[in-house]
Amino acid sequence: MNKVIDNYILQLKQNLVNLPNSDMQDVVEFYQEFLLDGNYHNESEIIAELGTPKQLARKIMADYSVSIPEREEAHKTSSKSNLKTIWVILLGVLAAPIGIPLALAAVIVMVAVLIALAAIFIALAIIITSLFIAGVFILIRSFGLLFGGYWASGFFYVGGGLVLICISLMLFPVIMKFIRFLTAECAAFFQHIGRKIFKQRYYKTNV
Amino acid sequence: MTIVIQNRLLDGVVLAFIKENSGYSRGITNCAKATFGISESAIYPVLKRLRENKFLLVGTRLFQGRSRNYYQITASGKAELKTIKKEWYSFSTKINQIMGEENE
Repeated sequence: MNKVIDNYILQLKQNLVNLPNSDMQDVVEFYQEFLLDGNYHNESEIIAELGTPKQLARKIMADYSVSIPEREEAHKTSSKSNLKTIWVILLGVLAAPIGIPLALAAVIVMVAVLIALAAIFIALAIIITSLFIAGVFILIRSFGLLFGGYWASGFFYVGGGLVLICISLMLFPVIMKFIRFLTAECAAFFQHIGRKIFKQRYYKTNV
Repeated sequence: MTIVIQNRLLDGVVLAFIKENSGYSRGITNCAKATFGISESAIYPVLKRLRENKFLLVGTRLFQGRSRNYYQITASGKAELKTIKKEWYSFSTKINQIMGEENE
């Protein structure tokens, strides 16, 4: 067996992280055969043909993540794996050969969506934690009033503090659900864009 | 000049190639590269899709001391190729009728 090819395939495997085992075996076999049949002798020949193992792995993973059925699937999977899908597609588009029209525009749109998503997450997190902290703070202050003889306003503050804490605790699952929903929608949107980019094959002539 | 090649057309081309020529993936990718300038990474999903739809079967043959995958077209694959061909002929005839000869 050819050492250079073995090495390339090994590196490819190491870079294919998120694929299910059977798909990984299948795709690795395809490229291994492609290389063995091509009789390559040094690494630069292979890289000229397929790109570096990392680039090829990104292309494969992006291809794979856009091939998963879109929306229903995105809502069923966890936010974490949806974020992973988004990430993989973004890397895949970046690894796509230059010259694919729209690739740059797509990257810009994707990054903009990601920034917006992160901003929404942060804003929601700040809202919920500030409500909670305000509640705790008021509760602590109320004890001073209670034991200082102002029991009426003390009780008022105890109530207020508890209400704020409760609101923040009640909001928490709602916000988590909302975040899940948003990431799923984003993943579906990214898959849509990715599909547009990866699935177009161009027939080019030099005319 | 750029024309986008539809997946359905790619399916047809790959099926036709396997039916008429060799079923080794290298031959298929070479053909796609030579005629359309399409890379092997675009052919892998096509082969996978055709296999999953049972239009192709994979077998292995020994070659220079290692086993090599070999694709064969199935009966339903031949039927599929026929439909794609039909669709393509009616489509391309219409286009040609409207656009006329190349150097007109």
